[in-house]
Amino acid sequence: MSPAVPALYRWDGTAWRPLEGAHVAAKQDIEDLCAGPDRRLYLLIEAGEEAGDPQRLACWKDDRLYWYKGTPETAIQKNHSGTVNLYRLACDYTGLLHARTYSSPLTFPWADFDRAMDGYPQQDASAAALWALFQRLESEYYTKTGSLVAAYRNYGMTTNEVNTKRLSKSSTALQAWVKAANDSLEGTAPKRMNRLADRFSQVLEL
Amino acid sequence: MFNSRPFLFSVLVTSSLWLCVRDTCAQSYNAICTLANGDLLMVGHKNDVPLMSIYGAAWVDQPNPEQAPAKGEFRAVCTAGPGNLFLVVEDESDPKKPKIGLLLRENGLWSELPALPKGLNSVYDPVATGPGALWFRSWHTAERRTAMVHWNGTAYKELPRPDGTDEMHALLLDSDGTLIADGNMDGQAGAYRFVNGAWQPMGKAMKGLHVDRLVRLSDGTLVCSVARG
Repeated sequence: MSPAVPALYRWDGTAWRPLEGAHVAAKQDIEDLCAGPDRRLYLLIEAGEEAGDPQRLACWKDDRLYWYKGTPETAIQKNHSGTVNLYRLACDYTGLLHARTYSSPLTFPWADFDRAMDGYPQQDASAAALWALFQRLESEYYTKTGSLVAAYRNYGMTTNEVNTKRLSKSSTALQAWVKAANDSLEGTAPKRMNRLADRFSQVLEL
Repeated sequence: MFNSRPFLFSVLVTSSLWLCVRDTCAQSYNAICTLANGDLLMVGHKNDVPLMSIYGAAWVDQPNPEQAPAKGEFRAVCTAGPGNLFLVVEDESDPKKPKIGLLLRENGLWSELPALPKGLNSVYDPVATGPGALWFRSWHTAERRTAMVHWNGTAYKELPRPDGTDEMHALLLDSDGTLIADGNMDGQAGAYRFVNGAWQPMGKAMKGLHVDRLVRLSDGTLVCSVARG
């Protein structure tokens, strides 16, 4: 393995400083990067020493790198077939990490992603309970949000009494669900309210 | 209750879209950007037709502007203030002469920008502060050099390059709208700010060939990746 030398620098206002804890081997290319929430930096790295070697994902946070245990290939093959190279990382406002293969967009379920990171500090019981809760809530979140967006689309196309009521009903249902979800989160792990809670809170602002 | 402007933008855009059955035809994505409301916009092509998709709670394909070519692809995209976009379009109507152009979405209306300056036929890393303030990298094929171009709302103007720099690779707008780019510095990787019509070095060189990407962390810290030998 070639020696680790800085590939990432931060600007301190007067000079470029190596990003603490973000050294990767000299022959490992950083193919893409994007900023995430909580001062995270997601990295797509060609992890071998030769061109064309498998890619790996990593997350820099709190001055160290956390490597995604699987390769993008293993993640992609859950739902996709064919090409496995990733391009272009991007985070949406909820903190969800996206990338694209040659032919498809790919979204990394963020809870799975965090759980799969080497050494990520989340090994206690309350964390495990929280992740389980998050995974249940996340699918519900998409269902409820999808319902609201559909209602809004209908409302935008035809503004009538029926669609207005449907919109109002979807919105009320989502807000009620968000409040309940936040209560569940607080009850499960009051000191671990984090990104998902933030994400739910944004819905309340609609 | 529904007075959130970012959400309205998202929903208004998605209100006229059509849901696409994915992965049944040849498609490719070229670029991705974050919209002012936090949604993601990805652009590319499907079956040689330009394609753009927005991610709110799921990826949803968008209707193309009427100025988009029937055959070709979207190569890049950037926001230009809330609700506004610049789209880089490759028109492949004549496969022997693909043509790169720019579309602007301003206040819900699309328009086509004039043809690129002579000698330039590419647009990379577009960044903008508004419909009348766009910067991008291009490549002057005949002269084998990067061209840094500014669109001021009415015309293109080529900017100078940092001293000794033939190729540039990264662009970013600082929080105050100042353009930041990479450039040669003592034969190594350097970064510059464009102030008062000239490139000012940002600190000293970093070890490496050149700066590959510039990004800003959630707390505002500027970070760059450096290509190494």
